[in-house]
Amino acid sequence: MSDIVEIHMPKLGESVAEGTISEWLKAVGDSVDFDESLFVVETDKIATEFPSPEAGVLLEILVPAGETVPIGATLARIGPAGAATGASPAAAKPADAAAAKAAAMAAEVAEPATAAAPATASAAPAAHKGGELLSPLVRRLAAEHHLDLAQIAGSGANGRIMREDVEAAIRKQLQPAVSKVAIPPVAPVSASSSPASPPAAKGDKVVPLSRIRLVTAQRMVESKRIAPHVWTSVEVDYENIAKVRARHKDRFKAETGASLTYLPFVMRAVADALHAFPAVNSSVDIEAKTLIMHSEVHLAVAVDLDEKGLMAPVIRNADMFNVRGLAKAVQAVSAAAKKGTLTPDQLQGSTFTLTSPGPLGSFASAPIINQPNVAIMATDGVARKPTVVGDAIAIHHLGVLGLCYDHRAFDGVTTARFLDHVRTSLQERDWEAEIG
Amino acid sequence: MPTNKEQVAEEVTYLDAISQALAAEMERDESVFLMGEDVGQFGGAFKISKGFMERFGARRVVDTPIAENGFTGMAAGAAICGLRPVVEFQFADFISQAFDPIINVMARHHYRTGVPVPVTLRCPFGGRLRAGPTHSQSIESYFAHVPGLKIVAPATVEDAAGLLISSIRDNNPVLFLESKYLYRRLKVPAPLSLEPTPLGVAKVAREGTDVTLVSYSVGVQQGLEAAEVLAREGISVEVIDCRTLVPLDIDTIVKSVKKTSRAVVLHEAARRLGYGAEIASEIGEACFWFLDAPVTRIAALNTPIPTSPPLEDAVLPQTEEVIETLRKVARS
Repeated sequence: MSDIVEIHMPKLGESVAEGTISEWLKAVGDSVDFDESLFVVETDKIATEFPSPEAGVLLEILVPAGETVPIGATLARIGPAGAATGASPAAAKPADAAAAKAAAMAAEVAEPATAAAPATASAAPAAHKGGELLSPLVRRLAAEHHLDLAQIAGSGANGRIMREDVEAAIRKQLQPAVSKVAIPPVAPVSASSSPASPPAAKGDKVVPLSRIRLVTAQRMVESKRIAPHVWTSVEVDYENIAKVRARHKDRFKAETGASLTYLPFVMRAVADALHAFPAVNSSVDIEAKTLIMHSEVHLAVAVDLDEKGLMAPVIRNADMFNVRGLAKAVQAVSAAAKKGTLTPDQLQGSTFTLTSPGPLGSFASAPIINQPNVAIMATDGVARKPTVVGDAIAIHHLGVLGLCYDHRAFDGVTTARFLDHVRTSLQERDWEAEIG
Repeated sequence: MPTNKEQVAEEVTYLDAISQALAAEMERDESVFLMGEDVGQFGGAFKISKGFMERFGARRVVDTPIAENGFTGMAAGAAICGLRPVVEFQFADFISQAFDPIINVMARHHYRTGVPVPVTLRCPFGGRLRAGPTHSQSIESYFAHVPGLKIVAPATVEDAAGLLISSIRDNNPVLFLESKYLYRRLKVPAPLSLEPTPLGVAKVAREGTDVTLVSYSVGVQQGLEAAEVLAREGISVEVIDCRTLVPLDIDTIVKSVKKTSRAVVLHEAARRLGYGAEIASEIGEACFWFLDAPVTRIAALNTPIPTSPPLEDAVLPQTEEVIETLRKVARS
């Protein structure tokens, strides 16, 4: 047998409503054969030995000798050898199964093909004190509402925490917030700071937000809330870099496995500019009223996860790499992000962030700052366009570089100088020397 | 156009509903005909077709020999040739004689050839009539396993008519399980609507918030009784009437269980591999993170149905057990 079987107070006669256990013939832990006497039961008419309906081990005695309980009350549990035994409690439990079922046990056992009696509805494992037995629903609700289950009193059997208990706790948790909202502020603020979402209309598809979307939502709202964003941009002439790319990208790809995009060039130029303008490579601590200017340059790079979310893995000490090293590093962290193998260390500690919508053809982008940075750069699309070179018009590779910065950290003048530094590097440096 | 005196009475029973619906379909569609043991001259074992032979003639109300395998095969042939036979088994228990034509012909023929087999197999089933082990059985699980059959089990007078009409009009073989126990016990005021009730749509027979009871046929009536008793204790039971087992309207069940977080499945068939196992399993898969208690089954013991009244009562689920189980699931 594999099931745990409950032994109920048998119905010993037509007009008999209860019975008294006068003696247990087995102790908890004893093995019991089928039909072997288990206990002696007395009514006001007779005393009789009760044969076990199952072979197994007496796991638990729920009604001690001397107690009188109604017909159908659970008296003991018999289970397979090796099942955990329970202590014998002092008090009887109320009837919890139909008396008719107990009477019908004989018919059940008599069926030759039936090896085990059916588990009754009451065969659930007993809950332990303190409500360690938590249903899937309770676990889910507790996780969703950040409830400490140790603080919730269970109203179910043996103190089990039930749905109703969790729902009450959730209501309690919401109470203070609701009452705060209920008191109208004195200052004339707008009626609603967070307008209600429109209800889904017929034909609309409603999908749950993924974890990464929820995290993104929270961080982006937070960043916009704490940092006054300002966007400034410059146009960069990438002609020199385009020529270097055209000459070396196939060899570069063959040698390194990484694509020679515009991004590593921009990162290289940015790393130098961040040393020249340390306020851009900083964090604001408004509580302490300080600006922390970081001595190291750790560049975060936004990586798209096939439109399922965005991650910003960090290339630490990016100022120590040349273009070749940066291209390989970007390739490595992008691959790791897409495979989901980034370590927590690779997702924190950035001092500046770049996002590159350019390959998708963007013209000019104003991203949201990746906290606790004070600036984020967008590298937008590079395309061939007419431009003035000396006194002539030429067709060059042009693109916009935009910077969104936290106006608490520095001002527009710093931004303009920083961007000019980047632009000058990109246009005038001897990139060939770094790639060749 | 009444066919017998019951129909002019002020009340319509579950049995009358089947009779009226069958007559109405035979009036409406000449290809519908009834066959079975004693359905003609005798008017059927339970008098469902009383007066039918006079009304529709012996060609459409066909008395057959005591040979379920033969006449069920004949019904399959008639359906393949374009008729819509309604086969009455005197007791559902006898359908095991006809296993082969049902499974290997009716449930397969359309799949193999594209030709529909619109047969309705009327099976008076279930116990509680002290009819013993071969006249009290619940047969749904044998057939629920077979793709190609629909299974219908009405719990109310209205559904007995509406679902029978849909079963006859359906182009698939349909097993129509009539509760013998409800035949004369369930009544509604006349007249009865004879509109079809769609197959595959479950019904919330009673709304509740604390625990869902999923059942069909006589179990729904037991569930409604139990819900009434428990309401007085402050336990709110939602009762779902499956109405059709195949196809099963799992969406209605899941919606209810997600709301109440607890489910009890009740039927009169034996517990082991009873249809409740399928329903419980579907609930477990769809509702795991919404469950506050194990999905619990109430069913007959895994024994033959005894003839002895006290033993039959002990083997089959009683309303008291339904009440106790629902209370336990809702409260512990």
